[in-house]
Parts: sequence; C-alpha cells; structure tokens
Amino acid sequence: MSATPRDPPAAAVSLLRWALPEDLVGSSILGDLYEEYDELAPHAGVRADAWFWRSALALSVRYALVGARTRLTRSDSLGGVVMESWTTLLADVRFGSRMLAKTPLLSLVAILTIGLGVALTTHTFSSVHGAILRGVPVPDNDRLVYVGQNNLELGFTEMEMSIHDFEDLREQQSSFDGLAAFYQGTVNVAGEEGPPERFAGTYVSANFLDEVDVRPALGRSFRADEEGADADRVIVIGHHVWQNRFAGDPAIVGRSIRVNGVPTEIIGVMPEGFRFPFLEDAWLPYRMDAGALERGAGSDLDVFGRLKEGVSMSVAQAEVSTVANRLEQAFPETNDGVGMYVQPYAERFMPREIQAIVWVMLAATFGVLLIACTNVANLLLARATTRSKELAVRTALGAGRWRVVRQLLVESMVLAAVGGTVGVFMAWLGVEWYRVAVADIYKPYWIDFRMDVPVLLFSLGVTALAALLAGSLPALRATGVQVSERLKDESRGSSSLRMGRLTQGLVVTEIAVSCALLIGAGFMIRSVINVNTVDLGFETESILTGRVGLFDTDYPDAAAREQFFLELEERLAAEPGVLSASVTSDLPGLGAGRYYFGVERTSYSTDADYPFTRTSLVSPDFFETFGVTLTEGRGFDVLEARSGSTDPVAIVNESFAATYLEGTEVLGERIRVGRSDSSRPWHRIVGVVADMHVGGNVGGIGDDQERPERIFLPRGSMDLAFSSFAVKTREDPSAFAPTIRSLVAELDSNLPVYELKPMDRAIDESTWAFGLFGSLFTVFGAVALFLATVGLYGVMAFGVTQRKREMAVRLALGAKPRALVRMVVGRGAGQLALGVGLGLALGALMSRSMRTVLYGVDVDDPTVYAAIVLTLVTTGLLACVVPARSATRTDPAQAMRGD
Amino acid sequence: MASNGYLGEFEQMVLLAIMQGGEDANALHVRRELEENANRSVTKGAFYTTLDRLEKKKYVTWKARVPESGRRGLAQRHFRVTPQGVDELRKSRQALLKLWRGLEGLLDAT
Repeated sequence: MSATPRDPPAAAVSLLRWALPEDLVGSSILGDLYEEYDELAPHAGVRADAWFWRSALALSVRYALVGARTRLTRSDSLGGVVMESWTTLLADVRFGSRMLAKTPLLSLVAILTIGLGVALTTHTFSSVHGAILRGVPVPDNDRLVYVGQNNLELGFTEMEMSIHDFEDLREQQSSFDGLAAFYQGTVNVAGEEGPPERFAGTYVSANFLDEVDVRPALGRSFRADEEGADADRVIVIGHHVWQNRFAGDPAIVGRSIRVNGVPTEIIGVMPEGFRFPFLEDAWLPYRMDAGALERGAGSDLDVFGRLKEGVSMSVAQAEVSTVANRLEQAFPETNDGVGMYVQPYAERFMPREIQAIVWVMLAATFGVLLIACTNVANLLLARATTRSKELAVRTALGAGRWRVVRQLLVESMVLAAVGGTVGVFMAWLGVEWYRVAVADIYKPYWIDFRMDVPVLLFSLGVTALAALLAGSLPALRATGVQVSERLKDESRGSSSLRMGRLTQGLVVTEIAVSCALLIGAGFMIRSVINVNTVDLGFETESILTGRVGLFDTDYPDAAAREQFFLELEERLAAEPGVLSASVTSDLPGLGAGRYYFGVERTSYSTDADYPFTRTSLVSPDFFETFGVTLTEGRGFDVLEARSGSTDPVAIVNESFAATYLEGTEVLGERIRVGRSDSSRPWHRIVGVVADMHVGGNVGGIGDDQERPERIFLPRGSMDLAFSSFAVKTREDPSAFAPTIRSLVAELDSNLPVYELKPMDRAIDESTWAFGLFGSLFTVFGAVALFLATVGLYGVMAFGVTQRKREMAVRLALGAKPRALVRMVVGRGAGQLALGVGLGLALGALMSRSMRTVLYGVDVDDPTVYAAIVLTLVTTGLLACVVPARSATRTDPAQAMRGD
Repeated sequence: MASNGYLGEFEQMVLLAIMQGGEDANALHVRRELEENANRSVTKGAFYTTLDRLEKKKYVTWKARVPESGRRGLAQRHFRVTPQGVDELRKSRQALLKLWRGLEGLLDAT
C-alpha cells in the first residue's frame, strides 16, 4: 500500500501510551492495534476510529485495574510511590495507635488538650462565620453596599439620607447596578384575624426588592407607580407573618387588611427566611414625593445598592464623594459639610467594634490552641525521650530521618484526629448552647450560629494545624540526635534527649500566652462586673414598661395624640396596684435623642459652638416612678407637663448644672432646644435631679464614654407619636402585663402595645453582649490557665523524673532535700518569670487593642495585672514544687537501681 | 518450579492457540485463532493480560521482531509455549480426561 495510512485518534493513542507498560510489551500491543487499525481503516473509515477508541479504552481500563498491582509494586513509578506511601501510612497509623494505646494517660491528656483547643477555636470561628463571614443571604452579597452620609465637621459619622439626596445620587451615579432606599417603621395590623399586632415594617423605594434580587414567593413585588403619596396602598408580607397571622392562607394575595388604620392590599409574600434589611416582617412602598417636599424634609432613608461587576469599593467611594461635593455646592443650606460614604452592607448592621471583639476573640482562641499544642508537643517530646532507643534502632536498621519523623508526625496526627473529633463534639454542644442563648436577641436576620460545612472545614484545618504544631517539633528534635549517642543512652539511665532549651522555650511561650489571655479575660470580666454593677441612678425593680405608637389616620393632630397619652397616663395611674405611672419619650438607660441646646446667659459665636446632650420628655411622675431624687427645686406639675404652657420649664441633672451652669444659680436659668435659629421657647430650670445613667444602651459600645449631662423637658413640649410608659407596681410587674393590654385596648382597640416587659429585663437585654462575650472570655481564660498549669506541671514533673538519678546521687552525697527542691524550683521560677514578663507585655498590647469593647475599665489598672501575675506565679510554683518534693522523697538506692 | 494448580480455561485456550499458530504465533494471529476456532469473542484487555500472566508463569516466551513495514515500526511479539507450558497443558488435559472417564455415554445420551 503506497498511500499514507490514516492515523488513529491521537488522544486514544496518548491514553494507550499512558496506560500500557512502558516497555516492549506495551509498544508491541500498540503495534498490534496499529496493524489492525490499518487493515480496518481503508474500508471502515470513521468506524475504525470508533473501534480504536473502544480498544484503547478497554485496554486502558484493564491495564489500569488488573495491571495496577504489577505496575504499582515497582517503586520507581509515581503510582508506586503513592501506593507505597499509602501502605506505609496505614502501617504508621496502626503502629502509632498501638504506641498511643501503650501510654493511655498521656494519650488521654493530649487528646483532651487538643480537643479543648479545637473546641474553642471552632466555637469562636462559628461566631465569626455566623456574624460576619456568611453575610446577607441574598444573591451576590459581596457586591451589596450601604451608602450613608456623614458630617464630619459636626462630628456625625453616620447619617441617613434625605429622599432628595437619594434621588440625586441615584440619577448621577454610574458605579451601581441600581440604588434602593428604605426606612424602618412600625406596621400595626388590625382586622378580623385576631387582636391588633405590631410588626417590624420597612418602607421602601419601589425598586427595593429588585435591588435585593429576591422575588416574592407568592404574588408580585412593587411597581414604580406604587411609590407616590397618592398611590394605592399595598403591602408585601413575610413568610412567617403569612403563616402565623394568616394561617398560610393560599388566597392571601389580593386580600385587604388594615395597616396603621388604612385598608391595604396584600400583593405578595416573601420567601421563608427573608427578613431584609434587618429583621423585617412586612414591606410597604414609601409614600413620599420628593417634588412635593421641601429639600431635606421627609423621612431619612437608608440607601443601599449593588456595585456593578468589576467596580471596586474605592471607585464607588470616589464617585459618591463627587456627588456629595456637587450636592454641597448646589444646596449649601441642607448639604453644607455633608459627605457620603460606602461600606459593605452587612457592616452597617454589625459595627466594626463588634467585629473587632469577635476577631479579638478568635485571635485569643488561637492563643489557647497554641498553648494546647505546646502542651502536647511537650508531652510528645517527653515520650520521644523515653523512646529514643527505639527510634535509634529504627534508624540503625535503615529508616531514614524523614521516615522516623513521619512516624512521629503520624502519631501526633492520630492524637489530633481523635482530639479534633472530641473538640468538634464539644464545639457543637457549645454552638447549640450559644444559639439558644442568643435566640431572642434583636439582631440582623442573617446572623445565625451553626456548625455548617465551612465551620467543619475550619475545624479540620485547625486539627491538622494542631497535629503539625504539636508533632513537628518533637519529631524533628527526637530524630536530630546521633544514633550512636542514643544507643548508648538508655544503658546509662539518662537521655541525650534532655528537656533542653526547646522545652524551656515552649514552657515560656505557654506561660506568656496564658498570661496575655488571662489579662484580656481579666479586663473583660471587669467590664462585665462594671456593666452589671453600673450605678444606674434609678430603680429598675417592680417597674413594667411598654411602648405605643399612634398613626396620623386615627390621631391626625398633635392635640389628639397628646390627649391619648394624657388619658393613658391617667388610666395607668388609677389602676389598683399601681404606685405611680409615667409616659416618656425614652426609658432611662436605654438611650435618648441628642439635641442641640443653648443656655440663655451664654453666647455662642457660631452654630458649631452649641453643645448637645441627650434630652428626654417626661411626665410629672417620671422621677417618682424611677425613684430619682430631686436635689434642688421641684418637679413638673400637671399643667406644666401639657403643651402650650405659658411658662415652659425644664429639669436638669447635677452634671448638667456643674458643666454648663457652673458658678451661677441654676434654678431660674433658661435653656432652649436648638441652635441660633431655634423657634422653640426658652425653658426655665425649676429643678435639679441626681445623675442617672444617661448614655445610650447600658453596656452599649462607647456608652461608658458618654458625657453625663441630661435635660428633662415636660412631655407636652414636643409632639410625640411614639411614647414609652413605665408603671411602678406593688406586686410582680410581669403579672400586670395583661391588665395593661386590656387597658390600652379599652382606649383604642386597634392599638398594639409592644416591648411590654419589666424594666430590669429591658436593661438586661441591652447588656447581653457583655454577658456573652464576658462569659466566653472567662471560659478562654480559665481553659488557658488550666492548660498552662497542667503543661508546666507536666514539664517540670518530667524534668525531675529525668534527673532522678542525678538527684539520687546528690542526695547520696549529702545534699539536703530542701536544697534540691530549691534548685528545681529555681530553674522553673526562671522560666516562669520570663514567661510572665513577656505575657505582661503581650497582655498590655492586647488590652489596648480591646479598649473599645471594654466598659468602664482602665487598661492600665494594676490590680488586674497583679491578680493575673499572682495566679500564674502561684500555680506555676506549685507545679514545680510538687514534683520536686516527690523526687527528693524517693530512696536514693532505688533511684540508682532504677531505669 | 511448583505448579500453582491447574490452568484456567482461557489460559488453556490461549496456550493451545499459540501452539496451533506455530512459527506465526504473533499476538494478532493468536487472538484471531481463538476467535475463529473457539467461537468466542476475546476482549483485548483480557487477552493481553493473560499473555502477560502466562509469561510470568514461564509457560510462554516471546521474541520481538521488527516489522518490515506497517505497525508504525513497532515490534511484533512472536509467542512460543515453553516445555513447562506444555507440561501444564498435559496435566490439565489428563485431569480432565480422568474426570470424563465413564461419563462419555451419559453425556452422549443427553
């Protein structure tokens, strides 16, 4: 045949070359296939190719499976290496397990130690993952950003946006796929389905659900024309509201319900679990018309959007800053000094400070893990010392250093694997507990703590890390000694693998890390104590509190609203069992609005010079209800508390008097809310009350840094649609809740009462974070102390045992036991001192980085440092003394004969 | 070398096909011989690995010959059954014959 033969498929040939033996056998088989192919190809064409493929596959599979054994026993091939490694690994694991079973106590301690380390890190990581890393469960959440405003000149780092600024931004930007806005509000639902109920609602721009990119499970989302002030009233409800309030009615879409007193059509139901933007129950289009509103008026909006593909945060930041500048120039009266910023959406609802706590905690747990690994490393090193002869024999018989290192590493891996499993189980218990503990806390809907795949993968990584950390040092160390030295060793009864500098270094590290962690824990515990014992300056016991909100439809003007609250207060006070009742803008200890104010006799050169302070509107019995004493002057009378008083009055606290009215007669001095252009009346100060907690939420971030001044104005001096009430009761306040509900229902059957709870519980809820973080830090500190003590004891005890013979000789030669104890303890004390010294420095650094999350704590507080040093030194010295004393008690003759 | 028991059926057939092929007993030839005379299809994988096995047991041996043309120049193996292979065949045959003894009539009747 003179024609050039057709070639079989190249890929099939490659496959065969890979699968067949690389010798004459293989090439002859390939030759056979070529021969057959060349016979077939001239008349079978493409079918010959198919035949060749079939043959290649059949041969490859056969040679891969059946021929594997022969090929794999040849150690020069890659497969051989893998196979051999696998076989030896299994053998190592079997051997390692047997070795570990021979020293059950040591293995148990090591397993528990690694378990504790893995459990703590896993648990903390589940918090980091649940709170920060997992993020908002909407598509492409990494591109979801929040756009806010600030006015750094006035010290406002976070401001919401007016609808005008929002619409201008939306028009001028090109970094986002789109921008949407919302403000959170109350949604009172009334109707035939049951008692009136209050839901957390969000009033949104019509494109809100499109920007979130989540469609309703039932019905539709909003249309652009549903946003205006005159549009039809529509609502989209959450899945749980649909299930709980409307019993999952399949015909819910199209139904009309009364929302805040107005008939509203349900147009959709969101999918289960969707509570965006925070923890919502229902979504309604906002009814604002930017054109009809004066610039800057209307509800302030939270704005978010999705970055376009490939647009970075910094590009978006540059653009919103440009827009902000443009708006500042165009509208100086509303936008003077107003900037714009972008931040990842989830960060808006998980402040950096909280994120910082969580990361600090994760770092702290890695510290604990380091201690745990150090302990295990020391244990393994100690064991390697006793096994030095075995290792030497293995080396003498031809095992390479790597082979012996591997054997030891495998043993630590086996330990870590069991320890890791124990740890994951402990972490799981912890996470479940944690989950229950934080279940009722008002937090973003996406925050959920659970052991999911990423968390488990993390545990796996941590376990592997633990195995490496704990195993590599002892393995390298144990195999680094000359074989001949080691073979001689055990006949001498001592070991060339002395607990040398390495072990001492490990112990010093361990003490330093524990010390630093304990200092961190100490400050956290101090913070918890501070929060729990903070002098609130008011009573919290036997007080029931709640909140009601009135809507324009039923209470169209200020007079109607005031009338309702006056009546409410009267009815509450008249109720049998009630000692006093008060209606107020804000409950004490739970935050209050900050207002600018001016003192009449003080002159302010610019508006920026006006001070501001938290200001509350209270009814006359407020101070009595909360047991706050008047130190000067008098309280409000009933008439003063109403609106339209001809002689407006005010009460300030002692700090206010000291700060702003120093050196003058406080009573009679006049103050006014607002700045130079304020149209509000001047209020004459008629009383001074003792300081009470004035900050934001008790225990809240930065609350301990708050200035203590506060103003109280009569409740009627501003029009309030929402108010809290507080009732001082003779009996258990919780038992009074149903009475309150029916009382409010008598006043208005469509009005829900919410946040109905005893005052002490309301305060506890605001301090949960400290309780939680504090208890976690305490656990970390305790575990760290425990591990460090055990580690120190183990190392000291082992060191002493190693030197038993030497000590016996010394004793036999007349050394005093006490001198020997002193010698051993002296050596331990050196390490202890070094460790504590390093730890103090590390702890000082750490506590400084934690400053924002501490409460009322001085990070240089010497008592905390002293307490930690004392604890560590005591436990450390005990860990040295106990084994030293026991060693001196053994009979020298016996010790000499020993080994 | 001690025998590892009796030859398998396919091994016997491969050995016999090689002997039938004589001087021309290259792999391709042997496989075709099997397919034609034993009336069974032979998968290439099973065939070549059986050859390898028989070689390992020293029942067959081969010589490589470089072809004058074709095969992209790759060598061709020509197989020969070794005396040990012949012994094994004989042993297997005798064992079977012993087992057949007296049963011929019974089988003919069916």
